[in-house]
Amino acid sequence: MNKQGHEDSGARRRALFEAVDRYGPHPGTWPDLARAARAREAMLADRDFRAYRDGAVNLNRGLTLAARALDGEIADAKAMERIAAAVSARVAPAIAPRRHLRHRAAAAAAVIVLAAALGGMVDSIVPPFAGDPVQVVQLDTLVFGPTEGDF
Amino acid sequence: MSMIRGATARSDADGQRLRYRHPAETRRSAPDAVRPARGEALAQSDESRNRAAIEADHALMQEVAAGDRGAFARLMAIEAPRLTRFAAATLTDLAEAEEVVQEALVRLWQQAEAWQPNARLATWLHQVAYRLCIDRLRRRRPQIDIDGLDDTLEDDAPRADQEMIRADDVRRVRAALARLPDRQRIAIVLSHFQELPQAEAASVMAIGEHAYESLLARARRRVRQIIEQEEAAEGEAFEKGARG
Repeated sequence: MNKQGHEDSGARRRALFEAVDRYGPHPGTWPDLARAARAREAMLADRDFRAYRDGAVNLNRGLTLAARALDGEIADAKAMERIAAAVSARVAPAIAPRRHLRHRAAAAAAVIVLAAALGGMVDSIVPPFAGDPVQVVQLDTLVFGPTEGDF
Repeated sequence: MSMIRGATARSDADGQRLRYRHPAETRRSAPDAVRPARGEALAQSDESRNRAAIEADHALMQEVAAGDRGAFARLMAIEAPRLTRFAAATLTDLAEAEEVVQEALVRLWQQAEAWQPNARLATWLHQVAYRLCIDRLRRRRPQIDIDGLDDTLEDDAPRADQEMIRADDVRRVRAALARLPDRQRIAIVLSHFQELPQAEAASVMAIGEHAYESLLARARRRVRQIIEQEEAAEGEAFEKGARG
């Protein structure tokens, strides 16, 4: 192989190491399929590349474990409860005056409208009283004497 | 059985062998339309899933905008744990991370009525948390330009061949992350802790996808170098102690 060939080969090899850093240690996820194929060949033939790639796999595993450990610390510290309480306290005052008064006014208006509607319906549904009107009889005290009520 | 290693025999319906083809020849002769079609199908599948998620987020935000506190409580239960993990890993301080997450959620509440279905809730929250974290990091070290740290702290030492890290050495990984420049640490956290696709992580950091790829590559190299140096230092200390 001539000098140019060696340089090209070296550049391609460095590109594989760079691709592991950019895209991760699994060539199946790389966007460049040709480079992914060269990486698979290099994993079989290039000990240094295989070691570098294995190191990336170990780093990924370590980072996943670190993320899970952090999740555990967050849960143990009951951070979610504190966050939920603090956020609720900050957003709650905005609900009561703005939305609650509007709801109460709307409810009162609805009650008035409903009462008026019911009153109107009663008038139209219930017929006027057709029975004998109540008669008031005034007794003449000179004729019949004073009442027992004595007033 | 084929007498030629790696060759593939094709046969017609009567089982007659037609021709031996080397796998490389098969790959070269595969129509170009086949490979891009699979990629396009996967991309379309991701896009439709993303679109469905954006619409679901929009529906939830409409409930929040209507004053449904139960909907907001559900939203917090879904988003707060991941967001807290992001902020805690970035700031390396849980108390500060809680404040950042509270502020991000309150801002989301305030935005509820104006919410547009243009992005995922999680992406928006990460963007807000990222800016809040950057503000806090700058306040810690105002004299240092955190944007320039990627250049000033880049280490060109040759990579070691030894095995990188034991899988269960969480302490060493977290110590290495804490020593990274802030933006490199955030790039690592978005990719490995939050498992965001690169395009989404780039949008959180308000940088291009290619710039994010480069930042992540530098971050991965740097964290490996730090861990290797730590292991080498521990090995030397152990040997000194053994020698007495």
